[in-house]
Amino acid sequence: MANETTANAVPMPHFPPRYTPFRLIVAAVIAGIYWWSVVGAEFSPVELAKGLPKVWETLVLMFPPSLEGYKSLWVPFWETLYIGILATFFGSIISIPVGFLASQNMVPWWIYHPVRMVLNIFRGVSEIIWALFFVVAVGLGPMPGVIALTIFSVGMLSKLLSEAVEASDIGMLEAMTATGASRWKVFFYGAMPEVFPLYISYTLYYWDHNTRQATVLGFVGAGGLGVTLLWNMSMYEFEQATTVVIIIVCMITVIDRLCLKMREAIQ
Amino acid sequence: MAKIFDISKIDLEGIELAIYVRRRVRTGYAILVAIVLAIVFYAAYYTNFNLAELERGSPHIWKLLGRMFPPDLEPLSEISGPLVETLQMALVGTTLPIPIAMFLAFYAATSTRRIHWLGNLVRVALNTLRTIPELLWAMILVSAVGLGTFPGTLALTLHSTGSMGKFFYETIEAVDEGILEAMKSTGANRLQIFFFGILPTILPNIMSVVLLYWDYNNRSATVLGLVGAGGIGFILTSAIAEFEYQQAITVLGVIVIILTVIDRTSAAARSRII
Amino acid sequence: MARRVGSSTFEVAGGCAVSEQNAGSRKPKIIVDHLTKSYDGHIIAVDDINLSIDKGEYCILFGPSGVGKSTLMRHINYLIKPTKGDIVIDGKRLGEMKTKELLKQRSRIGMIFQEFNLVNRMSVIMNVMCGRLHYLNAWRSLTFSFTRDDHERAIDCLRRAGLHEEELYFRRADTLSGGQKQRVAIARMLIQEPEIILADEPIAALDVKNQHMILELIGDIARRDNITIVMTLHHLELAKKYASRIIGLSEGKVAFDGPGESLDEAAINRVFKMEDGKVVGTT
Repeated sequence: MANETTANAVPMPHFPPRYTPFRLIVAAVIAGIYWWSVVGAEFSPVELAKGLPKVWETLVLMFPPSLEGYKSLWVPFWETLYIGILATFFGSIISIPVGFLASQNMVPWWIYHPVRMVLNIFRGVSEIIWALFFVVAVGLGPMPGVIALTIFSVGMLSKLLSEAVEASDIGMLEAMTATGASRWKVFFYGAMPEVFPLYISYTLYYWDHNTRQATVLGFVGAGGLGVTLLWNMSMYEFEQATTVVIIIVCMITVIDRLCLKMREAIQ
Repeated sequence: MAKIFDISKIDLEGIELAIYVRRRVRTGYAILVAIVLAIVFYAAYYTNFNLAELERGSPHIWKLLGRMFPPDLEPLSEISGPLVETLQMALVGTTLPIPIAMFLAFYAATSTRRIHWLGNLVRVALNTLRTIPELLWAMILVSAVGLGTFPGTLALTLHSTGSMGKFFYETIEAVDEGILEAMKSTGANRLQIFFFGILPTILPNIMSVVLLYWDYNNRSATVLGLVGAGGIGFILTSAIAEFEYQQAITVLGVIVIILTVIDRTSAAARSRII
Repeated sequence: MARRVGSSTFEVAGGCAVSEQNAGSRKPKIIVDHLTKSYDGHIIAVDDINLSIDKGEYCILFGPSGVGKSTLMRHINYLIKPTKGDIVIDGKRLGEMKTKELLKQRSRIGMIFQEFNLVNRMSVIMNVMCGRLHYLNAWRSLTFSFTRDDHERAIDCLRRAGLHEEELYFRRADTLSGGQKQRVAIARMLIQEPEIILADEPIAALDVKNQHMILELIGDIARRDNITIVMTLHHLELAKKYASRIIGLSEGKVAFDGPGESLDEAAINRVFKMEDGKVVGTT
């Protein structure tokens, strides 16, 4: 037997069997859930085959893009851009103290638990729902859009910031604490300088994200290009809608490039 | 950035030097802050965003909050269907893009692509898919194929394909050249290099991003109903639009709880992967 | 070199008693009073330790790793709060202090670390000025603007710590060598004008030449202002050379306490639980 010849050599490592009954059951359950989801989402090849020609028809309707009335796009364009900038600015500023309050290694549990709960709500509700809520509360226009995106950004950025702070070097925080600095000074001087590049890169990512979302906030009346787009679509002016979509794509692409350059400069 | 400040050409020493450096660094920051503030103030002016208006609106906000309580539990009986639908849409909209994005990333990444112009074309396509928000995709698709979960799932798929594709090709490009060369020297072909050299290396990153997008898509799927693309969003937005705030808060509560649970699960899964 | 300053009187669990005639003539600087620290209720890191350290003493804690040296030291500025017992500094109990008083007390205790614990992305001089954070008002703290006075002190302290090249002061802290980093850490501690210096393995990450230089520097600083030092150190030869008093810890208890000269082979074996040079049942 082959085993006898190698009996005195290094013992072979024991490989666990690949297909245990347990794993097969788990795989079957996952496959089942997945199949059920595909059916529930009405996502079948038949559906796709039926749908794609219609998509194509719509695309044909959308081209060529029409420049008719392009001058009226300037205001919503700037509005969208500025909603993104304002929300990111407010969000990034507010998320510093909130991120501090959400960090496990900075504040006692009876502060960070409630703060995290609130942040979960900020994040759990989609931007559009926030916008809808504030449109009802403060009226139509860019302002509810800014508030909605700010709230969502605070939820996201604070969580990311607090996670970064919790992962920061304990020694550095200890050294700051040992000098007699109060808690928030320890955060500001011990943790922030280290997590700063990460914080900037998250902020830039959410700038991109916020601007992208700002383009659809108009669907609920919260200002920006979305209002125009909704109008065009409901009037079946697909060619004008295409122009708006192209503007959106260009705007986000430029911002994405800008973020990349800024991120490189920070490192 | 090794030096915070280059002092080799400055003819000062001791405290005067330190004060000089402090002034220069501060001036730099002051200019930066001034630029940012100028942009922000102009943006606020342009969009009529002012805190006074927010102050005026705040009683409305409180009144609105007051009208949300106590929650009306009536919609609980009818939301289970749309809720499951939402989660199903998100699951399919997250998993379906993985192979598509992978395939496209293979052609887009500079280290694996062969045809230069095709790579650039794929990048432009991915960028377009990514920059159009899923809600906008949903709106376009609803007007093309009609109401239902199908356009919703397709919208999530398209947007996620763009986002994941971009991430995938960036990750592939970041893979160490050494691994690729070692593979090449064994005589592996391009496909083998991809499956046995690149894929195992980037698998943890891929899993992490997929989980992140699962989270993202779950949240997005809750609003697709706004434009008629299925899921719980229709019930939610119509409750708010019809001023049924007590019902809206119930639906919102359920959404927040479920999203938080999923968030925790995927965070736990992610920390095990990394 | 190993000059014994001050005095102490107490019984030690290991049976080694140290007493001197002039005990009680002056108040001790630090009293460790029945200090106990346990984690999760049963893992005991520090077990009912009593110590009394006088002003100007150069105390070195030694013992096997994981025996509670660092834990004991971190109690002295309350970075770790005790489970039972307390620390008394200048007659005041730290456990009874309000947060503000505790911060004030901490600002008078300098601390240096094995890994230096500088903030990598800040300049050297900013790192040093962090030692003045306790005195900086909120607005100045938020805008990272230290006063002219802080700058003057920082430069002075950097020079006292042996860093004379001004080009270094404006470099990022992570561009320095190990020895330079520890000097910056010492300057950060000096700017606090400490009455007590805590040092946690300050030379473990340095090369031999720097080890002596740093220990001598700390000794000189302490002698000049009659500062009390509590240091953990695993180099017994160096400990004997520099310390005025050596405290050996074993399993959370004091197993040896005395001047450097009295630390003989038997005492070392007692601390490390060794018989005939072999380790017996240490964790």
